[in-house]
Amino acid sequence: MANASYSQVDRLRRRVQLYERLGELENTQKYQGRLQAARAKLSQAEAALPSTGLTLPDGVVLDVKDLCMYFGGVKAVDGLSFQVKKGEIFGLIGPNGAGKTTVFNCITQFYKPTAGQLHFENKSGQVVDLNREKVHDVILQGIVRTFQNVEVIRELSVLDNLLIAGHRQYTANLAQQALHLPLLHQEEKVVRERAMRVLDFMGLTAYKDWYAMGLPYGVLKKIEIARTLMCDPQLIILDEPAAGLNDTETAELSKLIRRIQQEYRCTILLVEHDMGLVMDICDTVCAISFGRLLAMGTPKQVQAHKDVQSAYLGVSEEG
Amino acid sequence: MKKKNPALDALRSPQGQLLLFVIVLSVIQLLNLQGLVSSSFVQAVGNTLIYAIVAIGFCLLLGYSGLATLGTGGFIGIGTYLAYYMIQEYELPFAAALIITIAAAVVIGAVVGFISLRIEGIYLAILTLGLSEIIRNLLMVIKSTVKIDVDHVRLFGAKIGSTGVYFLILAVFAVLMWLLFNLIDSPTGRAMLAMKNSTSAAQAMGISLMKFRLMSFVISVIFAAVGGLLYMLFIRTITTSTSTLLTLTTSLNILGAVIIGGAKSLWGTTFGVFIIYGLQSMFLSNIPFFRENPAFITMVTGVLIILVVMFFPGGFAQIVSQLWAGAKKKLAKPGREGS
Repeated sequence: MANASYSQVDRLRRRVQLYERLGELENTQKYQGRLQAARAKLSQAEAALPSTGLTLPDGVVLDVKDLCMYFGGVKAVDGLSFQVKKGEIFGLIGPNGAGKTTVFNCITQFYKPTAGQLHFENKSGQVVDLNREKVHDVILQGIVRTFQNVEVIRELSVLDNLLIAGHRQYTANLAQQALHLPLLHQEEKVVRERAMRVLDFMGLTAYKDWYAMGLPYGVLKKIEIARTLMCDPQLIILDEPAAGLNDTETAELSKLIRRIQQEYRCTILLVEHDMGLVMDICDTVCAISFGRLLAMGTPKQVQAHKDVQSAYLGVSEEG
Repeated sequence: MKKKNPALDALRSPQGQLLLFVIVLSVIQLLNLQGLVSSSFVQAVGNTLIYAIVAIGFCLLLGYSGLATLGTGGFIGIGTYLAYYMIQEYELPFAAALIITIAAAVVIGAVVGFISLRIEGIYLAILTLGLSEIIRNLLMVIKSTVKIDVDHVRLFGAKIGSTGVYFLILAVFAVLMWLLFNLIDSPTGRAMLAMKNSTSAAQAMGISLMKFRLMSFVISVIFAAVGGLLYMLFIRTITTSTSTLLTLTTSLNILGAVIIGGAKSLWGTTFGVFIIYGLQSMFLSNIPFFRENPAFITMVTGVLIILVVMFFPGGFAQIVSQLWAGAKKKLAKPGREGS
């Protein structure tokens, strides 16, 4: 194999996981042969994976450097730099229109940044340049996101919504899907089982067969978060997870976010207007205004920062 | 507690339903051979079945991917003309003609798919309408009337008459329907629905819009072109300048059939086609009033579409599922009777 692409490696990794999990679920040895073959191919492909030649300082998972995003004359993000440490809950705050969601859209490649670096340590420990990824391939690196205005697939059941999030875990090709060959059934079994575990973790099992259409807002928000857990996330990006929730739900949410961080051992990056939530759960807070950095540090430091107070906390409600 | 009825269970699976459908339609043809059913009725059923093939392909595009075209007529035209040249002029076997038709459909579907990445909604529909008219006029200039001799209609070297073609259509329908059922009930079907509901969520979940838009267009164009191919084998002649087959009328009728039937239901769509095409050719045309005033047939279709869209936006599929749910409740209440 000359040069393997990351998506090839990822496919092979899926195969290995599939046979491992199938063996566990069915409690048999019959997949051992295929498992060994897949493992051999995987290690071959991994060896052939070209190095990106990028590095990050120790403990940093995401490095945003001089990020700029201009829409015509509007400088939504203007030379923003920050680093997210592995395993922390990182909050991005700022008044309305500060460019928070734009930053998220740049990281997830919904927008191609005008300028700036986005380096990320992916699931296999390799540092990649996110700007080179296509928007639908970002998930393969281990970055998943939610949306400010809940983007749940309303025509599908809650369980199917989770299966959508597991879309890249299927390796069956079109013919295998159209003919419903055994590989598809095996993959369905494994992905469904995983979806059931996530639903259980999120306390959504009762809703599994409900159509997403017509479910209460709080549940929809939970479905969005549940979807992020379907693909071994390395970095979860939450865009205003508490928007539209009442106090009890918000309190529940902060517990949930902590549980996710601990159980799934991932880094969480969130934008939030609810200062109570941010101050409660974030390890690091970064305040921006008009696309520029105001202050960064622990919640207390940021809260006490003069610029932040005048730009944001001074004028909006206290947490 | 409940008694299991294997026959009923089988009917719940698409395969079982498909088998029943094929048996019923085969019986119609067999009755015709016995002289119990008129051959014009069988002709109408076969014809409608061809449109059903086109419509279920369109169903995937509209109901699942949320994309619409008005170019179906032109895509069918590609199939008919390819059939003429491959089978009549070059005397290729059916399988070769089928493969070439599919290959051509893949190319055209891919072109439209690429366009759909830039242009969306109603603009895309208008654009495909233009494309379809270009195809139609081009075909008309090339040859205005195409005709296949009955001797050339062969399968595996053996001559098959219109009876044989009828069964061929039925077989092709069954196979394509089965493949579609499988596809819908797989990550591909879900990915298409995700794309229809929210492009941003789909992309964030790793679904490539380009891949699935191309795929849905390619599949729907293949279904349309295969429909055209079968049409030529079955009807064997078409005069493009006077026939409505390649025009907007067909595209709209197919669209209407999918909407009446229920855009997300393959059986609903098939039923919709039988309403739109079958109703007129099988029943209404036998009523003297409609025979003398054919314009009223179109009006019946129009009224049906309006009624369905107003009261049952989910189409006949929705009506049936509501009736089914109601029947279940009624059955559940008495308790003892059951099953």
